[in-house]
Amino acid sequence: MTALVTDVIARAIASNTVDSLSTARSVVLILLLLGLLVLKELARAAGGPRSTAWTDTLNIAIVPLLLVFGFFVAINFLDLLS
Amino acid sequence: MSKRVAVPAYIAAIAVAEAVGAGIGVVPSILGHAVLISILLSQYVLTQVPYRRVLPVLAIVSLLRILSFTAPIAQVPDIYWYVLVGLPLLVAVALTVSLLDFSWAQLGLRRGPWMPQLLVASSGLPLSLAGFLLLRPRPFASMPGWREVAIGVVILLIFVGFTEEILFRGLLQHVATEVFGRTGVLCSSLLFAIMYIGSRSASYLLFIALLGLFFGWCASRTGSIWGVVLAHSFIAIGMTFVWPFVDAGLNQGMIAQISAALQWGLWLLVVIGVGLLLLRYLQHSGRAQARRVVLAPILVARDHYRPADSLNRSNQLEYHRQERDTMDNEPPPQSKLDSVEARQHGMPSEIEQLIERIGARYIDDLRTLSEQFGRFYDAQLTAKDEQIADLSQRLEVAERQRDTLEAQHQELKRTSASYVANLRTMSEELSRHLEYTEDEHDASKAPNQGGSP
Repeated sequence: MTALVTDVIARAIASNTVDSLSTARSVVLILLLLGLLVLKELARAAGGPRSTAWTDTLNIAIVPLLLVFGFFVAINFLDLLS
Repeated sequence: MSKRVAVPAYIAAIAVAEAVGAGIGVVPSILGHAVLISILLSQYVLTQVPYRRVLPVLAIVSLLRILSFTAPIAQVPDIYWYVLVGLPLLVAVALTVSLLDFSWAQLGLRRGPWMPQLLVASSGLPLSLAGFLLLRPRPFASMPGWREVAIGVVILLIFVGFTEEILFRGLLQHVATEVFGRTGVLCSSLLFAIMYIGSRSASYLLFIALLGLFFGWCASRTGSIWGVVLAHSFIAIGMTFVWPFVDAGLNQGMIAQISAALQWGLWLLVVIGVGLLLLRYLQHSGRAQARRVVLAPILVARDHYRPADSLNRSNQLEYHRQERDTMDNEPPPQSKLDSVEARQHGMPSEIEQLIERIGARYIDDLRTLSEQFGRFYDAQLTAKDEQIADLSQRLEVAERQRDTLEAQHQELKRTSASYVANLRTMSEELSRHLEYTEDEHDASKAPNQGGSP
């Protein structure tokens, strides 16, 4: 039992019978990712000295969430192929 | 908002989101963490508050929970969930290190002396047993083969031991120490424990909080996190691959008794720890009071030398002497405090007398010191008074010289004025004489011109 995967997480995953991308928790993940991407684009379009700061800071959350999203897409794609 | 309010408020918000995840549901918890990430990152960009550098690291802690709630899926074996969560988290840590302009050595990824690191790492073996007995987690597989164990060990080493320690001890403890000083270790340990709320065991949570403090102390003392990375990995490996299978072959009644005794022992340890901290606080406050008594003569002297008070210095000196005498005659504050404490705690009379004797000796020393200070500053004051008298005499002489010079100056002015008046008169007479001479000369010329043919 670690901070990364606690008992609550193990039970939540075990109780889910629905496909990964359509569960409520994944929808929240995708919405958060979309929100952060929109914010990043707005900051970039606005320009100015803070534009780079916004981009670098938001990347801290965007890049890991994109990795997880990419993994979900890959899993679903493999499911479709098989 | 000050750092002492804002950062604990954020930590409390993370704790609430974690408690919601453990008690109410996963989705509200993810939503809470998502809101926190947005607020933390926006505040980092938009403000210049002194605790600014803690904010992206707190955002990563919230991101950890979002990743761990969303990334693991049932199609993937349990042990690979750590990779799914740990890999994006390591990317987030790397991006934050780049954003905050840290070097990896600053985060404790440096080679230190081997022996302390090995000692810290070896502590992981007994701690893993303690952790297992407190939580009794289920094993990942019923009986894994050597291949599964080898893969599992590597995954736990990298994605549990290394990832969690680089985040909590490397990054979070470093920025928290930058902002709060030594209290930063407490801050990172608290957040580390909060992230284990999902284990739903108070004893295990307490164990994790103490473990966080121990790891934080080890990392700050050795300046390297490799020892705690290994210790954390050993704990995870032991709890996952060793103790569940050892436990299956042992007498369950005996294991349950050991587990219960360990839980009691842990809480007892906390009570003792809190007691020691309280004692240390009381000792510290007593010292602070004694320091005030020692500094009293210095403060008196400092007040004495204020320019506004220099006119009635003798009165002030008398006042401060009286004040010092009053302080000396007062009952000693330290001994008074000790007596009250002793009565409250029901100490034996011998200890009480001993404390009073020590207090009395201490007060005598303070009185001697105070008298010496008084003599020293009296001598200083006398010397200053003599200097002032000398300067006053010099001032009087200078003023007399100035008066004499001023009189001479007036005399010279009067003389010069009379000279100017005389010269003006002489000049006027001379010009009149010249005019008269010219008229006579013209008159003598005129008859000569009229008589010629």
